[in-house]
Amino acid sequence: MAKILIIEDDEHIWKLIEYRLKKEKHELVWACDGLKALEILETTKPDLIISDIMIPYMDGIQILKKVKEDDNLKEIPVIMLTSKAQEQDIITGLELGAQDYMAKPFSPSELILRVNRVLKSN
Amino acid sequence: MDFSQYWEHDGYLKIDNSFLRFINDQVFFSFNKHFQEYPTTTALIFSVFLLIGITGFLFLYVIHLRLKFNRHQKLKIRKFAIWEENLLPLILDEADVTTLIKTIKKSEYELFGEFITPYLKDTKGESLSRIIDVLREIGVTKRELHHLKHSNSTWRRALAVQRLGILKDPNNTKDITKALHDKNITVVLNAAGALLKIGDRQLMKKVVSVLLRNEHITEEMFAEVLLKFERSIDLESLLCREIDKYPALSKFKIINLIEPLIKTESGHNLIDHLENSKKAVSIILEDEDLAEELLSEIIRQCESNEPIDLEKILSKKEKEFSTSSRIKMIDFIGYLKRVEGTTALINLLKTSRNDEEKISVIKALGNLEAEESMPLLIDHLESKHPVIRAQAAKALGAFKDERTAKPISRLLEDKDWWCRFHAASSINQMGEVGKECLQEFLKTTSDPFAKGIIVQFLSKPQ
Amino acid sequence: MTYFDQNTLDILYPFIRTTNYFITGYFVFINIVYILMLLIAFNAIKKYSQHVQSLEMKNLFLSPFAKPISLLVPAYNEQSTIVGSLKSILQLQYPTYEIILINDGSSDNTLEQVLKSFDLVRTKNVFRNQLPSQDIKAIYESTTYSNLTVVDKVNGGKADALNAGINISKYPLICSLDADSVLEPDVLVKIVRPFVEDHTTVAAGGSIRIANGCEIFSGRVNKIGLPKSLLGKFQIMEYLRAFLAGRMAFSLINGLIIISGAFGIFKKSTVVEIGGYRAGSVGEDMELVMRMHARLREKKEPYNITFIPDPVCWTEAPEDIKVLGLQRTRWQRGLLESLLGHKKMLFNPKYGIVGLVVYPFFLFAEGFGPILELLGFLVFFVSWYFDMVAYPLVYLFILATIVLNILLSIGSVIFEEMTYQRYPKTSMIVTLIGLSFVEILVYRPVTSWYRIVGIFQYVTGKKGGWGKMVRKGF
Repeated sequence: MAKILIIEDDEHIWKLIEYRLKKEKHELVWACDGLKALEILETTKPDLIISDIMIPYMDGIQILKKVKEDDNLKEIPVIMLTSKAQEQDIITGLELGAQDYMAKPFSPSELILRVNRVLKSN
Repeated sequence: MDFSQYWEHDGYLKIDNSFLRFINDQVFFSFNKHFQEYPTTTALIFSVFLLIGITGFLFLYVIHLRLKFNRHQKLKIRKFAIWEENLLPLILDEADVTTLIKTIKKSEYELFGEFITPYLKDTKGESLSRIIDVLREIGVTKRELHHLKHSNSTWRRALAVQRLGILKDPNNTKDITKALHDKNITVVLNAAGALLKIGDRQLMKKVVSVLLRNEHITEEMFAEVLLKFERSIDLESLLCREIDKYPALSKFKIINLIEPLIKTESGHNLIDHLENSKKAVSIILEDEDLAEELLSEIIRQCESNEPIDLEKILSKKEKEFSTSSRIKMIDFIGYLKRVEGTTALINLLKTSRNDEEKISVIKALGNLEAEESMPLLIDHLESKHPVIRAQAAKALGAFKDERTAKPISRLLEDKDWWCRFHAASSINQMGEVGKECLQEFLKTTSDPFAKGIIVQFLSKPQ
Repeated sequence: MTYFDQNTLDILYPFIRTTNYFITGYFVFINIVYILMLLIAFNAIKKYSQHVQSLEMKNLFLSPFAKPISLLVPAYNEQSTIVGSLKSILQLQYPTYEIILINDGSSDNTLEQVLKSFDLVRTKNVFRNQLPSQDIKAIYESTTYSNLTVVDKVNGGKADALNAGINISKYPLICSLDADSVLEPDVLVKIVRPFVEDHTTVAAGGSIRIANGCEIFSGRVNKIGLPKSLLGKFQIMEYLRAFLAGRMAFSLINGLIIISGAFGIFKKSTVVEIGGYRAGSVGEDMELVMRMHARLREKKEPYNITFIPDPVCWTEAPEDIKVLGLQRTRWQRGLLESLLGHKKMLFNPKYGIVGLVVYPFFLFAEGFGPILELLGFLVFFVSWYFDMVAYPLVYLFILATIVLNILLSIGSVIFEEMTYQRYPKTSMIVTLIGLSFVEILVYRPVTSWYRIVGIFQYVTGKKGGWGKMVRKGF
């Protein structure tokens, strides 16, 4: 049971993730854009962040940077969610210290595997 | 009011009754009378009222559209919630298909399509095939296939084939392949996109060959379609030693892609694997080329592990493809850094009489960083065509070879701005030697334009 | 009645009668053309939206093969808005584009604001002097945004600034923007499509909307609303009609002669070939497109100037009657200048549909239309003074005008509904249509008056004010 922040502007993906992760008894917080995400991060400290790269107002890479620069937050593992067109972003993300990434289209069971693995290793 | 009094028993109108007489006198007769007396005025009044009528009707139509839209929105919210409730368990844990199907009425297929599209795009594997099953079950697939085959309107066909692409149902490939020969470009492009999404490698050859032959498809469109295929390749699987199956990624791209992943993930065997996959990477040629017999030639070469004879293929293409098709291919070879193409490209540059083609070959050679093309590119620095000179200077810059500094520096005093720009930029890229060369040139030259461009590059912070 | 009056009447009567016929004829003709345009546009928009629906727009043109675009942003005294607008332009979705901000000798802190906010450093870049322009004082490049260049030059007007921008731009397509407009994030993807699908395309424009009353956040239109003032609402309807019906119809017959300076994209080689923007012209945007038509028709080259009905850019409209007046007089002068600068095209079959249909239509309807309207009013007052008014006919005429105006407005609203559903509330649509009842009696005479002032200024060669808007800022 962990607290997971999901930064994703597509509602259906959030719903998919939510449905699946709720079953694993995780607590979920949803931010639909970059600014919201930062707002949430100011008050809460999740155990894991799953972040899309293409989101309004601030992209996932910028958020990742912010998280990794912040002493308070930098221990939080981050899983990047990207579409295929953004190979370069994956590389940048991993370089910046993201723990893992998932490419859309993704299968929900794969997501669970990754989430659990990242949570276990921390 | 009882209207029956105005009717005779036998159903005929009573002409002499008061109501009709009133209408007759006040409306028709007076109109008639007025029309005879003041024909213009009456006609005017009549047309103005007609206009008012039309306007009123249109106004009501707008309101109708608006209300319809609002109703649609409400229905959408309601239905999406219901479908979501049923779909999520279906996608994630093999719930029963029938419960979802029961909630979809025939009139709501369009809406359901709208609902399901994002899920189709973002899921894969088992979950995806379960969604495809639902769509096949309710007959959406069949309906779109019908439109593709029989609709007279081009946009409906284009839409149908686009949707079939989103459906990613491999059973439809035969019909989509037929759509590649449609007269309308949008249909052709969508069909190509759809086939690529379904992701059958055998079909790639067909798709590319059709696209290359179609004169109406511009280079950009061609690239867009092919790159879509590249996007649909799963980066993930690269790590699972399945590189062979994904030909559209060139070796260069694969290395680029995997390098940082190796640092973080346990991908020790990858490097060995890359060596072995030369053959697989070569198959990419199928993308650019494409007459059937040429293909079999390439595949034969691939299988016997021979080096690929691109020269032969390109020379055949010369007869077979128009210049624009060739340019499409050359651009792509350059973009994907297909090193095998070098010799062929060099020969093409020697023999080609078409300036456009030469330019794209030079660009490609620059992308490939093909050292053996250096002397030839240096020759082209003297070309009469300013774009060729400029592109040659730019391509040579990619090699960062100090030996080329001297010949390129001649272009610093060229009449054409781009030649001067690329010359300076290329020399500047050569590091310290380049800088020195530029500084020396700055001292000796009297040309103010050359001075200007050199100062621009020398003053740039590195 | 005195003898004198009787005499005057005898002279006046035939005059008034002829003018009446003339004006009525003009009225009927113009409205027939408008309705025709509405029908043409209806078809064109339907086709367009079907085409877009059947294309997979979202994933298109994000490859490295997409044509790179140079965005030219001329700025003159825009210190309050410039940083915000640049930030929003930097967020556009497109693979390769550069932004060239041209500070046209601003007398306020425009340049300082920009230098401070984007980490600009001065470079010694040299550029290609393809077009004449005022001296360039300095070129700056941003160290944080590699695609931002700022040019500081001596004041020379908008056309001159754009020419300087073209000299510095690197890419084959150029796009002129107003520094104060709000762009849709995917505007470049949409607007580049004509160039990719058809290589003969030399220019493309899009639909411009009014941002007043909309909620703008971080350089994007978040929520669409109506402006509070009546003047603003009138202009919304006016823009809808002009862009959706007017330009769409002209574009379909390849006779589009206006691409708004607030957002237009051009093939650079063609612009350079015809000598760039004409410095010192009032309506540099229209003048450029006119010259393109003239030149390419003369060369008998196939070309295509298109319009896409998608809203591309949101601009702040003046809600102050004086500023509106200045804007309209300037537009009118620009229109006349562009049209009369190409007199040779009038009824010249060499220029095809542009010379035979579009040019004459613009000259008579847009150029001199306001004069006929004024004449109509004068004749009405004269005849009223001499008691020669046929009242029923006058009422009828007014009624017809109103009805036709509403008809055209509703037509445009239908287009809007067909395609974009931009105004979220039904009440907004009803308000807009309702306003067309009074528009022709209240708003139209005002704009016509300013247009007459514009004609007058053009004829006398007097230069009016530039109509610089006092920005409220978003």
